[in-house]
Amino acid sequence: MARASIEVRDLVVRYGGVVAVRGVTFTVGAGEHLTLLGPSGCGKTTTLRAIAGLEKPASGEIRIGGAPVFSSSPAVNVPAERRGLSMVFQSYAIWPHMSVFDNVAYGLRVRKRPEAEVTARVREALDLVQLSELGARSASKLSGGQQQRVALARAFVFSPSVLLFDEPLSNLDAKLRAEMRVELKELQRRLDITSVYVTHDLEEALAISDRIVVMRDGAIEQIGSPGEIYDRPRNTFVADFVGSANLIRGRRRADLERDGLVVIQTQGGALVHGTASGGRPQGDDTLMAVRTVRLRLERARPATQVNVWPARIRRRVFQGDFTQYHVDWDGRVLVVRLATAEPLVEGDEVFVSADPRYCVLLEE
Amino acid sequence: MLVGGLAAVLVLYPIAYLVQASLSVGDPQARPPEAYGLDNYAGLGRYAHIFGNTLLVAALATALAVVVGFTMGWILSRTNVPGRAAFEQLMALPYYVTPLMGALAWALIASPSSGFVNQIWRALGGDGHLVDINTPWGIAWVMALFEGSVAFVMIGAVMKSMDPAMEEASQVLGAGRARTMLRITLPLVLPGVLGAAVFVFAEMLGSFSAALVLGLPNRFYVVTTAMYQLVSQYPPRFPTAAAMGVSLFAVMFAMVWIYRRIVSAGTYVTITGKAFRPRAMDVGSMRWPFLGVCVAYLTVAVILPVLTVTYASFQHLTSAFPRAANFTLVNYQTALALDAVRSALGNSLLLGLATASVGVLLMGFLSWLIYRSRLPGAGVIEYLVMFPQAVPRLVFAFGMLWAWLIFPIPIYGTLWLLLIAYLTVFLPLGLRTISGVILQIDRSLEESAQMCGATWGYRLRTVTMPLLKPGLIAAWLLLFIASVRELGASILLMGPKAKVITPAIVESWFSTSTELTAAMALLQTLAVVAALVLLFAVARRAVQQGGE
Repeated sequence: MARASIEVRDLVVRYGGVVAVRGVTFTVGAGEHLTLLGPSGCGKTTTLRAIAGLEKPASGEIRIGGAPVFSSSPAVNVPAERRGLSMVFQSYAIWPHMSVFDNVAYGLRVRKRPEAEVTARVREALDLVQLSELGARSASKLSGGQQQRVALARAFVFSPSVLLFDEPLSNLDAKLRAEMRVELKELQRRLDITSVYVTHDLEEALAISDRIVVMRDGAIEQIGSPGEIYDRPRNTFVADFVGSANLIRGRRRADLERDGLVVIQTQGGALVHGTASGGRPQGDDTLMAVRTVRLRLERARPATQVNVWPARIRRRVFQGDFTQYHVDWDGRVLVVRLATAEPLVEGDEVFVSADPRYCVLLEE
Repeated sequence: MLVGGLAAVLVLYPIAYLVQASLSVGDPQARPPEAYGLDNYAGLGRYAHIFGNTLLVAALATALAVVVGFTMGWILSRTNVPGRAAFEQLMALPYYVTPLMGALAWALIASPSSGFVNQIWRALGGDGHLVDINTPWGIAWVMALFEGSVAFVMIGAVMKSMDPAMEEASQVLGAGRARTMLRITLPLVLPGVLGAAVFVFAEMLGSFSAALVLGLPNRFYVVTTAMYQLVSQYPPRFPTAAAMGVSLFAVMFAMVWIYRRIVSAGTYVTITGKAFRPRAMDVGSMRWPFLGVCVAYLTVAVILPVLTVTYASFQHLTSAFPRAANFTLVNYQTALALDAVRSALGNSLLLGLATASVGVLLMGFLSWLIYRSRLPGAGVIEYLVMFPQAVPRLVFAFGMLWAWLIFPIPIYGTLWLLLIAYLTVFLPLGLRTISGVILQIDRSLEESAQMCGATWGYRLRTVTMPLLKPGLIAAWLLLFIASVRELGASILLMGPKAKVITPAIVESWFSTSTELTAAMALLQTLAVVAALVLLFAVARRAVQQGGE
């Protein structure tokens, strides 16, 4: 299948007086799986729809496979049906008046493929989404998960150069969503196609992306690999949005810094060693983020030199996959999540420690 | 854009001429007016009693219709009355009986001299008459029976959309059933009831046929019948009639505006989109009296009128006491032999076909334009197209009469003018039916076809039109039925050589026998039913052949 790259430059989209996307720039490499992640109203879906051609941007440029499909100057606006893309909709948008087969065959018939080829390729696509038995069934008689698969098959059957996904799993229940996440990743890899995926679900984004673009209020907050986004958030918004993190406020102590590490000192006097992901703000009011799962709790003092502090267990909340501890530390509460069933109880005196690699100095 | 403009012309052109006519103070027959002024409005003072009559009849009818609508709405959506699903379907029937049929039937039942009830009253030794339908009360009664089903639909919808948890919460907190009804249920449905009342009142102000059939014998006029009289008398007094029409239109417009305000502002949104089945209250043995109420309403609104008209149509001389010698088929023979009736019926069916077919195309495209195209100015077009809702059809027809008389292409007095009139006055009806379906179709269904590479035309053919089909068929049927039975616009606009059936029925009522009129009314109804059956058969056959 043909793989195409996507370039988005200075994209601005307005709805009436409201600016939904304010000057967004990013690229998607050929064959890359990129995810636009952010809370609702951040402009991620609007950006996707602008790439699809369903939304007309106010300004900027969009290129697919090097050729401009939208540009404000010189004025270019290729209609959606001629951009050679495909899309899976949040609502699935399965046509209720057609059979499953006809739904999937639509894109091929639009392209006037011979009926024998249509049949063969629809079969193949239905096999791939494990719906081979259901071709003749009316599309209005499908469960949510089945509709999802039909929507998928319909989207890739005609070998588009790019696949767009608009929150495709958000209407499924939690269990099915987890299953589909894995299947979707399988499918993506097998089709070897460029994809842009929109979601507000962090786990989904981490699971299926090569790269993630975190958006807020129509602008990009951070671009990076899932690992980078998770462990090295650039600012408070990303740290906060991307799963649970403890934010530690303190004064930069550049005088104590060695080996490329940064150091801040909290009001209570604790020294926290960490790393910087981007710029290194100076001053009395800096923030460090450390994920709740990156903190350790032990009864005995660990042997490491830095980032070891005494603390006391205040509350223990058993949550199945992990246990969440609230610990009194440095005059405040830290949240720690441990997968192991440490026999710690409320009131225990413990040592809390953290690898400086996971303590990230934020830019703002 | 072209279609939007066409709709604007259809609606605004007659209105402009109506206003112009109302301001003409020179020779009333002169076109264009010799001089302009407000004299016609100043002169309306002489007709104050007619405006009084209109308000009286509309208020009485509205009160009655809302009581009917509220009672039926409450019984059928909140109690466990037997057969409530069936009754809910049947509640649409009074609307199809039409005020004209109702008026004819109730004139037969309760006119002071020959009404069946009064015949029986005298046979039992009574004196004079027991009931008199030729009064404001009688007119209001007939209109309320018809409009009761409209009020029911509106109020019933509000009651159904109320989350029963709101009432349950009140009961859990210790309030009794009566207190819950008074403090929770009533305030929640009140905006809906108020909205229905205003809407019904506006419709009543512009209603025509019941007031014509029942009011004319006693020279009791409401605004619409007075206008009709002013226009059809010799010499006609167009400017005065126009001023009346504009005044009525202004009041109705205000009413519709108030209605929209109530609907958009007043509803304490009880509609959450969450599916819940309204709790049916167990009313115990009260079920049977409630069942009686439902049966009674359908009896006086549907069964009795239809039976009465049918009975009368088979009589030589209508009498409350059937005798074998009095039964006859001669009325049908006469009706079918009359060339006027045959051509009128034919014309009506032809017009119905044309209105429905052209209308579905025009209104379908308009709906799409307004609700889907995101074209700038779509809101303005919507407002324009829904405009005829606020104008009585007779008043609208008056504007058209004035407007098309001077139109360079001579369509006045032909079926073409009626076709244009029907297409204009039924714009809101068609648009509401079709847009209801369009709004249900998620935009992404069309967008996903686009993402599969389908062009505009291909999408329209393979996705949009098939999805719209049920709505378009429903709109077609509604337009067909409404056109064949239209009176208010037809009575002013039909030419002597291009008659249609409903005005012919009214003419027959005033100039020939009651029995012949009854036969004509039934023939009209039968023709509509037959045409629909035929069309369905043809359509089904076409579908089957297409499938083979």
